[in-house]
Amino acid sequence: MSTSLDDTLKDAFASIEVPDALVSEAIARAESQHRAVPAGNADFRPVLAGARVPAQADDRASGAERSGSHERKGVEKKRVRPVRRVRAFRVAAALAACVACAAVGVGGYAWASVDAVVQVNVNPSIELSLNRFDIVVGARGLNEEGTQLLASCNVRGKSYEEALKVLFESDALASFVGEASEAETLDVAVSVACENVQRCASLEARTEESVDASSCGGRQLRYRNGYMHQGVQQSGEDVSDGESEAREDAQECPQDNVSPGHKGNGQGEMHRGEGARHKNFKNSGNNA
Amino acid sequence: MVPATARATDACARLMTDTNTERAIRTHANTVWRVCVLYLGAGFDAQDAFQETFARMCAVQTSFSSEEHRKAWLIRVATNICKDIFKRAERANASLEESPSAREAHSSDAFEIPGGTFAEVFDAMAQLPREQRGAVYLSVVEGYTAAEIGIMMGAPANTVYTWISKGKKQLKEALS
Repeated sequence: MSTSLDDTLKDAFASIEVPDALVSEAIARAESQHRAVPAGNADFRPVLAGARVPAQADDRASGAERSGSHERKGVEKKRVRPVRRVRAFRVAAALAACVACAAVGVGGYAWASVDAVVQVNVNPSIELSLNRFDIVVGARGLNEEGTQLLASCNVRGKSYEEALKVLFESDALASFVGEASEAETLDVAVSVACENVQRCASLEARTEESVDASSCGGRQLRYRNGYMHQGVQQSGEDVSDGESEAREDAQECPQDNVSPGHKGNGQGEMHRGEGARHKNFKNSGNNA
Repeated sequence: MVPATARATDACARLMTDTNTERAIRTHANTVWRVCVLYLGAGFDAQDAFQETFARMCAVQTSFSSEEHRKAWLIRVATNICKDIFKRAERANASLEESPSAREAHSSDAFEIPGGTFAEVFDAMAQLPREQRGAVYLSVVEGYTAAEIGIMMGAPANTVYTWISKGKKQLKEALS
């Protein structure tokens, strides 16, 4: 059945033959199309079927040649588009697009990746994530006050120093500090964590400079290194009454750089302040 | 100023091109015409598609590796032109629901399609969806494989198999 159907179809279409008039018309049209091609450029063809050159174009071109005019050459240069150049342009455009995409991807990754983490403890306690360009790409509160502080001031996208300045000069921080302390000087414990030691040192130095140059609610800020064990080692003293509280605090806030074995610096800094949740917030005035 | 020898060479090249073009048109005229009739019937639209196909062959700067290559190119171009005419007609709200034979009846200057048994065949073909019609024609009449038809029609080979199978089944039912 299939064979008979195939034969039927073949016979049916074999019986269709194009009328001679139609073929002659197509040939005549093709010839006129060829004649419209300017002399001296047999390879030239209009790119589009409808783009026909007028019938007198050949004669006009010949006249231009006889008169020494450069008109025809100009027309040819304008119309003929070398295929190689077009292909080269396309390849170059594709390569440029690839390079641009790669640059955007690498740049975006470098911008978004966190290179250093800085914890600032004034109670409120916050954590700032910096990229390799020292731009704040993330910020979170380590306690309730820190969350409220970050909700009141936006530090994302700002440079590190600018973010610190915004935080220290914010009214929200002044209100929190005012409730917690009545002293004239406020200690700001800062912990810096990053893979590069030199970068850590640089960040700490810049942080110290920024903190010491800032004030909050009329009180001068004072930089303190946030690593409590460093203070112990430096002072060489032990504070037994602060040890248990330090352990307790470390359990409450595991993200802090305070381990259970950490102790106070022997100057009463580990005492829990007026509602202060973190022991590295100090009120030098009270301690004095 | 172009020398006389160069002008003679150009004229000779044009003459050769004309000869090649004429030979190509005469060689593939029936194939192109059948494709046009397959999709559009034997009316003015098919004539326009026929002329447009060869006009594009003359206009395009494509070098064909063989006559078979040229034939496949012409079939594909003719198919695309027929589809374009369909789309234009659809946009113009033309009555495209009619079969080619019905459209032929409306056309006073249409070419005749062979009558008798073949009229039934063409009517049955006209009832097929466009893709199935083209796939069956290319497979049965022109002898292309499903993979080749897939390349020409821009469809996967398995889809072409389905079109051919469904088209033949429908043709059998219509002609039985």
